[in-house]
Amino acid sequence: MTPIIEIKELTKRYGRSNQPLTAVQNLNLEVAEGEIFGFVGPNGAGKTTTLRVMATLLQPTHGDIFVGGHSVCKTPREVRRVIGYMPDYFGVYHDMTVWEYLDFFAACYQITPTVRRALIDELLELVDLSHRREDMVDGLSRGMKQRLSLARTLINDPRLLILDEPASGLDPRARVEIRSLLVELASMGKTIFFSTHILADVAEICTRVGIIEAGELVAAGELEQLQQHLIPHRHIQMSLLGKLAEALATLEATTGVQNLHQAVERGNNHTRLEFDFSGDDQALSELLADLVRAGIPLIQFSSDARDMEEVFMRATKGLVT
Amino acid sequence: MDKLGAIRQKLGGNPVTVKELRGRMRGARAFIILTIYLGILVTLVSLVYFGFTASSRGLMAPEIRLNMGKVIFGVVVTMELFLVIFVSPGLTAGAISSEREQQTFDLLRTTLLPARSLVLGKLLAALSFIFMLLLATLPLQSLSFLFGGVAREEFIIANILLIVSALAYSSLGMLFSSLFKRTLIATVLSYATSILVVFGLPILVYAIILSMSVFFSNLGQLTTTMEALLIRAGWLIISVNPLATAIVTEIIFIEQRSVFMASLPLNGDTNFPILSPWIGYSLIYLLLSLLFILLSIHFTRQTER
Repeated sequence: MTPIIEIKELTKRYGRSNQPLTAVQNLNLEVAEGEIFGFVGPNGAGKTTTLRVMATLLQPTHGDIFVGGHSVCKTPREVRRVIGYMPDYFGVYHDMTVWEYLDFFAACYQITPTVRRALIDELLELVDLSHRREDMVDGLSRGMKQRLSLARTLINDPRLLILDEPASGLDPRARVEIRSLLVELASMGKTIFFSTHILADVAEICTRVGIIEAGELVAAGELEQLQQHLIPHRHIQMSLLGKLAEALATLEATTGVQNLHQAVERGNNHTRLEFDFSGDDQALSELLADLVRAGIPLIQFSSDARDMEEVFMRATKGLVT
Repeated sequence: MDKLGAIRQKLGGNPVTVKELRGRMRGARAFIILTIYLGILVTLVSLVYFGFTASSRGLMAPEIRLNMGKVIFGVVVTMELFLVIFVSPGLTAGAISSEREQQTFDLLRTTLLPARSLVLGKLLAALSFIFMLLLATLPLQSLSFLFGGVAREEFIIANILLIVSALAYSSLGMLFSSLFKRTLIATVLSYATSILVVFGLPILVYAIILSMSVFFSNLGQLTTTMEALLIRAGWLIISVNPLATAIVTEIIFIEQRSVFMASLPLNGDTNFPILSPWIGYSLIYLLLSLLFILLSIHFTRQTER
């Protein structure tokens, strides 16, 4: 698929030339159209700097970013037509109502007043704020402000949404709402590039993930690929009511099963088997089918979650620039 | 569409102007400011009126009535000049810096709104508010016509000076606002510059004249060239200060009945022609306004490095 974002040898240094602080170092990355790309990294890793360069707000020291084929350095105005940018803070105009806020930004995108009216209604409906149309922006809750901010980023119908920590500081309900909004937007064909600290969000909605640390991209790819690359073994637990010998035989005959050991669960006579498995999801599914075909009376079969946190911890070293 | 119509649509269509004016006129604040401002002016004009009527005892002589018209006009225009000089920079000193402080600057910069539209939109909104205050004062200015004593030319020149000053001091505030990230710094510097030009400059010039008069008295009779040079320098200094410009222009108008030119005697026998200071003031301040606006656009446009 055609990349909508091409980051080429991006380097950003701050400060004086004799003592520069390198925020991003030689970053190369491509994001295809339609993806939800999660950009993860510890504080000070260079996420916001990368996003600000992408949003044409910051000049890179070296390299370039191409958004929809346009260079952020050479044709920033063309890039702005393609993107919707939401920073990690909510820019508030204290003296505006919700619709005035959207109307103002729509006018900044040179959208005509007749089109604006219908557009604002649609966007407010999308972010579920139609009932707060006439309320002052300042009076909205944080979650509502974040949804309004998301509506603002959509005002020019951008192909790419650049979102810096969209769920930071939100309560669980608001987080879920924002997450489902992002999924809905992706289903509408938008590409979403967002930075976050909340690893559960990444695991939940991202099609690909990039992990950045100390200004350098340490891992990028689909979550599954990263998991396999960074955590080659997953720990499996299974409980059975009997037929231990057959179960052990099946497991020992399966490629990828290691460190097999057994225990009897107290209180009942279930036998618990634990082992490490290096195969992929398909292989694991086949193993489970083999056990069922062999008539093993399984009552539990579970894999320790190779979750995003584990991937993140393996990929990063705790370095901060 | 004719050219004027296109310009009008462009100005009216600037979203920043619409937003600013909507915010400024929302609630009672603008109307309270207007009421207080007009209240002060009405009080001053009433004081002048009652002062004159009390001293005239009975029917007022025509020359006193003309004089009263002149004084009322002078008081109103001076107050308007102070308003323009000290309110205009305050209205624009937070124009760009407050966007940075509210963290809305980045949001605007990622839209298609050019830096030029942002600066001009803010400036236009500030000027609209100032002009609304000036327009509201017109009935008080026109009171002088009721009593007489003020010529049409004086009225026109006074209003040109007010408009040019409003533009220049608003642009000055805009320049500092685009240059500094903090509104407080921009406001302090805008007011410091305004105070320096209005009050500091005359004090400085007075000090220079005092010290130079000692120097020139030792030289004896000045040459014609030297005298012409000094007149030009004095004219330039007058043309930079709004109060001095207004006073000297009025003196020239009263003494020589001239709107555009004045002639000063040089070495007693020859006359040296100079432009009336309001022309110099208008040209200098219009050029400065243009420079300030262009610099503001430049600083607003700059991408962070």
